[in-house]
Amino acid sequence: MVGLKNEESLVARLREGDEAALGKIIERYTSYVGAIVWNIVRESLSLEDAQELVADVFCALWQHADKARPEALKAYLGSIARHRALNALRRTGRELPLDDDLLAIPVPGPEDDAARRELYAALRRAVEALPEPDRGIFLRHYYLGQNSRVISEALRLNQNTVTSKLRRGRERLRRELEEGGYFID
Amino acid sequence: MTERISELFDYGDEIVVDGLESPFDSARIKEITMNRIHEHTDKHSRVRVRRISRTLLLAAILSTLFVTSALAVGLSIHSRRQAELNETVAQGGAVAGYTEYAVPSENGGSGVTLLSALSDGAFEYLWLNVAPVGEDELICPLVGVETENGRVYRNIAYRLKGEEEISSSLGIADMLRFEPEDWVETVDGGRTVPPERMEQRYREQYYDAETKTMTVRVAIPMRDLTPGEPTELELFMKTYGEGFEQTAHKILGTLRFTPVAEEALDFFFPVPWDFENPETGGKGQILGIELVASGVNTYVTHEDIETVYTDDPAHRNVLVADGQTERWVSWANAEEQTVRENMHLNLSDGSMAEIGGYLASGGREGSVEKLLSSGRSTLWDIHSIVSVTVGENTWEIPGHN
Repeated sequence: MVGLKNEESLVARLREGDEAALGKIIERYTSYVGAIVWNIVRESLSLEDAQELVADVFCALWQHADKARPEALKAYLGSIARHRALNALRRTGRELPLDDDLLAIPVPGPEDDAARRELYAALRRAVEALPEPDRGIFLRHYYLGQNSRVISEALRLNQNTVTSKLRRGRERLRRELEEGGYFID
Repeated sequence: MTERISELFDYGDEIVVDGLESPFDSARIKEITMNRIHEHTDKHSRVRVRRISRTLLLAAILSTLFVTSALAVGLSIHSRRQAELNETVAQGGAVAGYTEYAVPSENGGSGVTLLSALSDGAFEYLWLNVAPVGEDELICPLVGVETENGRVYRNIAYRLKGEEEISSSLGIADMLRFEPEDWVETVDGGRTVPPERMEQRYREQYYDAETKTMTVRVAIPMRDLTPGEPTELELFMKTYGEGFEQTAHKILGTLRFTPVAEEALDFFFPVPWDFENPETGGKGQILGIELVASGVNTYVTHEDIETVYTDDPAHRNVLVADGQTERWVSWANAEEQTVRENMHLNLSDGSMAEIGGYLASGGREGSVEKLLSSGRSTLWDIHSIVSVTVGENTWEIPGHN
């Protein structure tokens, strides 16, 4: 596990334009960033194109180093990686709609970040409460955008099994939200 | 309200999914990343050198009555124009994807010289110097030139190698920079720049009388090009009279170049914006935006999308179906109005930018239509856009904050 002090030093040096710090970050996080990118785009892009996307993520970090926080560097990289990969997928026109992606939560007033962070917290609680392989299936579908066929091949499960476990994950999420005071349509 | 489960993951910490394959070598990723960073840095270094040289050039002009290429500190009309375009069009090199080409260091000769290029995904824009162009032969897209025989219009046309058809380049006057006194009021309370004033600005900004060189911009649909694959164009100048009848056709030269790829970023709204077509009563949704150097395109879906378009495998974009033009126009108008009234972009310098003003529909992919914007008069750095406001919501663009 990477110590925070180490990350603080790296991010500080990155902000000063230290290329060696960027190099260190690339060595440390290529596997993580690459896993997110590859598992989103592998059905639609070549390995070379995906490699370019991974480099895009680190270039974006370099350009926006002031936005990186040492305590959340990995999360920041993961977020950039996910969005770059999803955008690339959308541009190919091959992004598939996710099953039951919408949550209908009738609350009044404008949405704001705080409300969404609360919802996310409920989502994480629901996901972490799932046993494996349900947790992995849920994240592969909603976080990485993989469909049930791809997930079933990756985990060597029956496709119907994947579909029913996704449904269980959504039910779990619904219960978690209701316990948190949200009324779900 | 509705939320997407997939979008909620934007609001949290790192996610770890077990058993994911990552086939990339960190050394190779490092190499690619560092090369890109150094390429970006080098480009800016070259820009700084050009700016200094331009300042020296202006000083040289002020201090002497006659300027020759020898006195102009070794700068040709091509280098000078490149420097100007870099500053005025490419925002001092901030626009990613704007590419400059090597140009002759001396004046003279005839034909076409490629100065720079940019793709926005829909078109490849090429900035070219064309010579010799007489003072009475100026190429002023859309506005023409006043002559004793009335207004004369000239445009650039091109033919791709291997093609028989000559295509006219899209004519847009947005290369021009105007002063406040250029604008006049119209009868309906709007503003416009008169053609004679536009002609004057073309002459001032894009024509060099000494070398008889005119700078033009050519727009070629990206569906006809492949980024990274060298191609060849024949370029022509077409002349039209006041009645738009073609009166002359001149061969300008052949250009060999490698098209550049576009830099574009899609951002889909966590919550789509619902709207209605007032003419048909039909329902639609604005789904998100595509940021490109030359503007903002919009992703839309609506209930008539299957009807108004027809697929044609020969075209990158689908076409408007027979008899559906009026309906298509009603949707384009409804989409443009709802975007203009309810959405804008927020930039890192605190300013805002509108989304709107559509040139044409970009076509449909599946159930999603991409509506092209009319483009901006200056290019921008898409990474400077930090968020988008849609109604009462403002969503940050990931990676831009």
